[in-house]
Amino acid sequence: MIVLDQNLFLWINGLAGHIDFIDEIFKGLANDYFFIVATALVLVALWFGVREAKLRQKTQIAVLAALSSIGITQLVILMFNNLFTRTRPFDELTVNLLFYQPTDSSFPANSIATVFAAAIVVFFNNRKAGWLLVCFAAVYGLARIYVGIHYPLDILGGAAVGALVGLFFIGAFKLLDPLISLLLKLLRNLYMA
Amino acid sequence: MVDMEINGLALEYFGLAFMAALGVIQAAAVYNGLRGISFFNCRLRGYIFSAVIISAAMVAFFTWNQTNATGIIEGSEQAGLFALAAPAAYIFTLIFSPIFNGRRLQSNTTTKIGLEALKENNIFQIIRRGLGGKR
Repeated sequence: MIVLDQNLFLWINGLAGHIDFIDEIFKGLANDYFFIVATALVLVALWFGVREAKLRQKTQIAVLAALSSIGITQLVILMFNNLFTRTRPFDELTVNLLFYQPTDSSFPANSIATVFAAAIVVFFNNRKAGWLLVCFAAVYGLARIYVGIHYPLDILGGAAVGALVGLFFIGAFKLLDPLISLLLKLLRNLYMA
Repeated sequence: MVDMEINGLALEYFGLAFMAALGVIQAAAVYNGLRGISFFNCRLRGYIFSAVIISAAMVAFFTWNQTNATGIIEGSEQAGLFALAAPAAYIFTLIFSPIFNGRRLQSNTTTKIGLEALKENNIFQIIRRGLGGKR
């Protein structure tokens, strides 16, 4: 499986270093900010952008669940990294490296986990927005492999971690519905929801 | 020197996130009919304004590593900065949108709360009414 993972990485990363314009596009897509901010902006849009009041409440609850699952995903990954470390591709193989060299564990991909944690929660509330975030995660993951800093398995691992935490929070928020509704009522009284 | 550089990066991140969130809030306000927080009466102008500032911010994020060759903002720092920037953009919108929409909405009344109230009035009109002030 590791050999397959490395071979797939080398195939995707092998596409880099030929056409400068495409390399620059992937460098932008792979950076630590673009897709994370884009994901956050989708959550902002969902918070304010639903017309009907009842549906808006459900969507805002989903946004709160997405934010919670993003936060807990970071903790899960931190715990995971204390137990298991995978070296980055550029430390083991000859790669076309188009990025700075991160020093943390390659597996699981933290940034993909973040986007996926939000995507899964949003998907169960709003399919269009959910699919948009899944596309963000897919392109982001591909870009991180292309620039030489993650293996494909790291991306899948990150997606799995994010998805599991997201699913947990979908269930948790259903159980905590009275408390969450109270919080939203408070935010509505402050004209923030 | 390194601290100043990181603070500069954080400020830049905050500014761009603020701009992007402001654009999204304005687009959502136009779409949702939240006239109390819309800067523009004309929907097209609202969407154009949003598109311009969101695009400018996202281009800056896209080219971040080229324009800031050294220093990174860690994930937790990013989360904190965005968590500050988005509410700041909303509060900015609440406070400054009455400059643009105050006259347009002055004859409206509402008994609703939350974003529903902001479909008919801006925040200062709502507060004034709540305090029992004159219309």
